[in-house]
Amino acid sequence: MKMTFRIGDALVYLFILLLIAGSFAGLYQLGRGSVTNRVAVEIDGKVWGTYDIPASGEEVVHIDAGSDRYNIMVITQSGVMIREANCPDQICVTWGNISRPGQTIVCLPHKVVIRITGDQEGEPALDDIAS
Amino acid sequence: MISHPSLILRMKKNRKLIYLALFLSMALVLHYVEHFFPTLAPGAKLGLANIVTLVTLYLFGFPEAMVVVVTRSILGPILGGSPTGILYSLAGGVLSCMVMAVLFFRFNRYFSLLGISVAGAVFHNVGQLLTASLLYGTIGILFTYLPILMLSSIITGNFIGLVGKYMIRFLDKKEFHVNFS
Repeated sequence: MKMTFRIGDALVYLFILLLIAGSFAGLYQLGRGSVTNRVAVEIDGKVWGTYDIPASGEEVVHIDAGSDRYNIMVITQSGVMIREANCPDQICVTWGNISRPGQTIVCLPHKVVIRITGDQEGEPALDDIAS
Repeated sequence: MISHPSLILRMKKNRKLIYLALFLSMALVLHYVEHFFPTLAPGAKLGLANIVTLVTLYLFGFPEAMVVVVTRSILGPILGGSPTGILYSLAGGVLSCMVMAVLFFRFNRYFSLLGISVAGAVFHNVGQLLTASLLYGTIGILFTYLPILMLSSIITGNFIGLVGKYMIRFLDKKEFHVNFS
């Protein structure tokens, strides 16, 4: 068994770089779109609730994922974010603001998926309201 | 008496069975012990059980490694107390085992053991994230977690390759695999 660095190893690292670049491109692609007006919350694959973007101010939603697990979601005209959660990895909190249809915030430990949906065409986009 | 061909064959078979069982129990213990280590990033794991996959691939071959991986992926989460993890474990383990086997038996000339191990770690994560994406119905999970998990699998893959290398060297010295092939 050869232990020194071989040409294929470079290919492996190249592949890793491609995957990273691809996932950033994919995230960008998911965020594209123009129409949105609703925020959908799913827990464990089932729709838990849908919310409209408030015309002004902010709407705070306490998402109860069962057995003392919660995520506090804040909806404003500029987008949706998780303000606070008691999940172990806190990824959903550090996720930041999402504002375009198709974008999601995922909290794997709580099985919570927050998605911006844009279904009614002709409605003003989130960004349009904000600006 | 002992030189009778069929008897020797049977002894070899039993030896192999015992070693595979040993490897499986090692994989299960590593799978469990993994939870106690601090992780580099949320969701990232050391993938210690991949050491066993790598060594089994080297010493026995693809079918045997697959048996160890599948059994470990089913028993590990059950013993660890989270049966929902079976699907993730299976997807990651089977995919990484298949990729490592292809690299190992088809493209052995072009890859070092470390490279193969890194590729295994990468596809372990890809398999798990694909499963999560399918289960939650959004490909966004894959895209979001992938970059950080790729970076962590470079580190863990190299570590596991190194451990596997020394384990193989130790077992080779005992003329281990000569007895089987």
